[in-house]
Amino acid sequence: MMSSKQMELSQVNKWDIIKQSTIYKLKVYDHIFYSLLIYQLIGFLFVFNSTGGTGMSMGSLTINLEYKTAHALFYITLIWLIISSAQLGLKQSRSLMSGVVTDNKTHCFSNGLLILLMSVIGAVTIVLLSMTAELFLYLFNTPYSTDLSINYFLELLSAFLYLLLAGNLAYFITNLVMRLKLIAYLFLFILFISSLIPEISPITYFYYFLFKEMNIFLFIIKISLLIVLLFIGSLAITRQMEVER
Amino acid sequence: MNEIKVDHVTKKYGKKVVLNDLNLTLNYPSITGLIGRNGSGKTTLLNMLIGYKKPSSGEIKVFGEDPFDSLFVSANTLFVDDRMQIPNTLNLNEILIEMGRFYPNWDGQLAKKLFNYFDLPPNSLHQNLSKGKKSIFNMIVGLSAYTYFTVFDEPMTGMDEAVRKDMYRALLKSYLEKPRIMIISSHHLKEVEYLLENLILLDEGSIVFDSDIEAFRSYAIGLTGKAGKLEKWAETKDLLYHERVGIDDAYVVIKNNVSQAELNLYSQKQSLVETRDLLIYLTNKRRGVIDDVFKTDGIESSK
Amino acid sequence: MIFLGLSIVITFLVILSVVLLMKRFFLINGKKSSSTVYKILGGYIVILCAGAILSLILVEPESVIEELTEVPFDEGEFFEYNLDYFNSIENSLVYETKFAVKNVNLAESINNYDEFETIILRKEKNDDLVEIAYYESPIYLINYREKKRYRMPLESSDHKQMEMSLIDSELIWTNHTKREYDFLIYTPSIFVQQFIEQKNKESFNDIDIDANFSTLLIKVPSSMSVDEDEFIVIEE
Repeated sequence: MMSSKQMELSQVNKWDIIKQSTIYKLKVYDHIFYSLLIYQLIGFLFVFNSTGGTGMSMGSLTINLEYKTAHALFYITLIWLIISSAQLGLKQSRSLMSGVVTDNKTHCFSNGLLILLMSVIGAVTIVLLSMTAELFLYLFNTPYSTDLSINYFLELLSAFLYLLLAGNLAYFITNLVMRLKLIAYLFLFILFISSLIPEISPITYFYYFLFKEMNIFLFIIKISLLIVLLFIGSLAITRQMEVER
Repeated sequence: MNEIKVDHVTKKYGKKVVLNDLNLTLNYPSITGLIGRNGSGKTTLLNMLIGYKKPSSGEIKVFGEDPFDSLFVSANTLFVDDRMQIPNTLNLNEILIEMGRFYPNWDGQLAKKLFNYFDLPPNSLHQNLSKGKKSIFNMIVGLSAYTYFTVFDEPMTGMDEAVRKDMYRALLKSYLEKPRIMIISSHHLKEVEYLLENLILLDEGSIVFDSDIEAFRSYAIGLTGKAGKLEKWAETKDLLYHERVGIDDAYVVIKNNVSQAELNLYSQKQSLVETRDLLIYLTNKRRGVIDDVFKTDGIESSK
Repeated sequence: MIFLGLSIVITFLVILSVVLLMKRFFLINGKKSSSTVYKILGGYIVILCAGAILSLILVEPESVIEELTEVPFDEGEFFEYNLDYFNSIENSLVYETKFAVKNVNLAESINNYDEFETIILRKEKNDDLVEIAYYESPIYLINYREKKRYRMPLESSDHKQMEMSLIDSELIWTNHTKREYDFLIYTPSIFVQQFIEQKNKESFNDIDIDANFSTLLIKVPSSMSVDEDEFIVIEE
């Protein structure tokens, strides 16, 4: 008869741990979302700087056009996301998890989940904040025109996908640099050299591949593919990572 | 399959060999002391058992699995030391709650009681605690997690005497309540000795001793007698230590594999060797004593 | 502009202080709670939602946006002027006056800002009345990218500085009006721009003024002589 004191080995479910790790990281890395607020409020101020203006005249008539966009908001949120995602890829991030139940795969997956969440919140706040900024511009500037054909859902989706791509890219590159320094530097070096010749530069190709894609569905497919590839790459890199405390 | 097995494990950092062809087995349940001098490779071995690092060659099996990057092993293992990764954005209370969410056997009640017993401030941050209080907190986590395999590496650093006493007692009670595989690595052998069932002595990357604690205690014997006769005879045995005492007496320590008759012949007094001293003798590469450094007759003791 | 700047700064400070207050609020008894930031984030998103909803309700562009069904007529195209054309366009009459005259020379006084057509309409009757009407079509901004045009919301009071005067039996027309308008266009965010079809892929914001016409119509008695080389003359 087995003693009642006998301990049993516990089985754990991978998905439970991923979920738990994500919640844990959300609590531990709360500075990420504080910084989002600060970044966005600063970006909000930048919206009121026009991106350009023209003056047109025809006879006695002169029209001064001022263009305002919420581009600054997007760029700032992008920077925030890149910095935060890169932080997740650092060795410290892995060592932090050593105090709880984890392995490299669940760590990577929960990081991916975090990046996803950050992208969602980033995209939502960008769209909402730009609409609020528009409200301000309208109230304090007359006359005023806007393109009412803006599809807010499209904005949301596009912002989310771009943010997710940037986040995964930052995470992947950080992992690459942490683990495979030589390959990372080689890769960046080749990229830099080839960018000097625009014709063969992969950056130019990438630009046309993604940023000039007009078909929405093609765009979604392309960018999703890239995101998945980057994430798989990150998974592969973190697989044999040792823990340094 | 519920054991821990180390099979011909070597660990090298570059050309430096830190662990050399180690073999050991830890069974369930057991409390094993891992003892060794600084730089003997203890921490490296522990890191590999927990799964933080990989061996250069050889195999480690924890519960039948390679512990490196294993979720299963991670869920059933806890490493308690002063480098334990406790986040600084949650207060102590919240950290205990989080730990409870991860570890399947977590005993929140015990954690709370220990917390109150040792007067830890629940709303404080880990980084703001004194060294001793940090260690207390880490120990509370270690004890409340009730993981199948728990490692304590110098867990009592910074704690005052009274707290240490309580902690050791708590450790023992916890173990008796739910026996596990425990490893305690400590420099305070004398304090921790009474808890141990087994002892592994590591010296410069190799295992010098691996057996139960009683065997260690009776591993060697200390002899006092006339210098010339005793020393000459002792040289032919497994000599671990020798020292001049008085004018022409000597004190030697040899391995306890000699018959009583022979002992009586060459020595006048026999005594047990303190484990603390035995540890030093087994691992000391130098043959002299510190006093020799301060000798004024200019003769350096070096053999 | 100062008003705008001030309001921006105030809003920024308000939001910042709300955020800090909430942070303070949730740190009662010095207890730091890790869920604070998520409460603040939640509050932030709620405020933004309110702003967005208000934006959807309140924001109405001043200009009327119409579909560009045809390209505005190119230069050099000539069409039949008639009275009906002018009168068919709403609000295009901006100035009119009458003179009783005999023996008048029509002259045009042009200053640097004017560009309009002068059309002489020879009336059937021979009253000694010269009727002057100045028409201006609404000003449009044409956005080639969007294939839309925005009609500018212009005040007719801007046209006060026109005058027609009779000096030494010469009708002199002056238009000192310098009309200058500031207009703000809020363009779509950069991450959706790529999906919007661009007619002219080089310049995304390809906007042009289309002031269809500005015409000074002078109805003269049938007996008045007009130099037909100088002016376009049409018969009533």
